[in-house]
Order: sequence, then structure tokens, then C-alpha cells
Amino acid sequence: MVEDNQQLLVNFGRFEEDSKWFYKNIDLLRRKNFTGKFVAIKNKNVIDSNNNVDVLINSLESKGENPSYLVIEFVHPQGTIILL
Amino acid sequence: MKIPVRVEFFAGGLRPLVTIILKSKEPHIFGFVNAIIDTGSPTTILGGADIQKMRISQIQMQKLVGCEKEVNIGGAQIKTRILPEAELSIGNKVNIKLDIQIPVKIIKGVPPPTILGVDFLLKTKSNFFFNPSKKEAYLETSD
Repeated sequence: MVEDNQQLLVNFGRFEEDSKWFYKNIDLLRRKNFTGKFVAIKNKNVIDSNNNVDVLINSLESKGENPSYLVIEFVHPQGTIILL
Repeated sequence: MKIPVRVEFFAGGLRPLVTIILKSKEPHIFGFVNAIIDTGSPTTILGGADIQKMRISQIQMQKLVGCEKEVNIGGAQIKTRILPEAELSIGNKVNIKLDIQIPVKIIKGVPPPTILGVDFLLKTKSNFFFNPSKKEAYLETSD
């Protein structure tokens, strides 16, 4: 149980690092034509992308990835403003 | 206790953002999620892409409670139901149970991000500090 919790925190830390990487590199992702797509990030790399999040998740699962542990974010076009 | 909150540029401006662990037994849900702290939102809502990545089946969706409620958020129009007693934690620092809204249908627009609303701040009894000019933000709890 303690080990499970430690592993969870390790995975949590990796997820946070991948999240930070995504926000720092969003302009780079736009230049690489990911605008308007959902991207999946693992170890500071885009491992898959698609316009449709369902298709992306199916693709990740077929590669043996667990999407629940991955950063999956939408790359909004430059200049998009979302008011919450 | 101070809990650091990241300040990231997202869709037009700087936003206070934390990574949370979301768990629920019924329906079974588990995953890591990036959430924007939004003091303008009374409730916490799970983002469309975040719920999809947790692969909740239609059978599990039926375990959500309450009738479908229409919510307009970030230009998207969605219908939500309630996930009762969801466990939210920030690493090993905060651990609470909270009823959260889950999108069950996206009527139009891009699925919105996950939002931690005022209900999260109430439940954690935390102060929220946000200084965008210094890119500094944190939650402060009494224990």
C-alpha cells in the first residue's frame, strides 16, 4: 500500500512535469501543426495526436498506454481567448 | 500549510492551475487532471477531455446522480450530472470529498477545461492567493 502510494506520487510528479512542458512549449506545438488537435504528452514528448479526443484515446490504448496517467490537452489556435 | 499553484498561460491569459488526482469508487474513476482555479465558478466541473480519457462506460455514467443540467462554459454548451463524493487530492497535501459536475453531453464547442470552483475552496477551507504580475499563486489551508 505504501509502495502503491509512492508509485502514485512518482506518476503524479511526472504528470506535473509533462503539464509544465506542454504550457511552456505550446507555441512550438503550434509551429509543428498541432493547432486544433488534442495532444498526448509523455516524458515531455508528444506521443500521439488527433482532432478527435475519442480517436486519440483509442489509439493510445492500442499502444498499451493508460490515458488516465497522460497529459491530454487541446492546442488552441494562437489568439484564442476562453472566458470562464 | 501553503500549497503551490502553478501560473500558466492558457487560452488568452495567465491562469492559476493545479494538478489533482481524481478518484471515485462508484462509478469507478481514476486519473490525473490539470484544473484551473476559478473563483468566478461556484462549482467544480470536470473537463470534457478529462472525463473522456478516464473511459467511463455508459453503464457507469448511469451511476451519476441528479438530472441533466445545462451549463455554458468557455464558449461550449454542455450537459452535466453530479458525481457524488469524488475524492480530490493534490499530491499528498489535500484530500477531500466533493460532489462534482461531470459533462455527459457536449452540445456545441470545444470541451472546457477542468475547473475547481468556490465549492473546492469552501471544502478545503483554504485561502487562495493569486498575483499574476509575479506569476505567483498558492492555496493556504489552516492545518
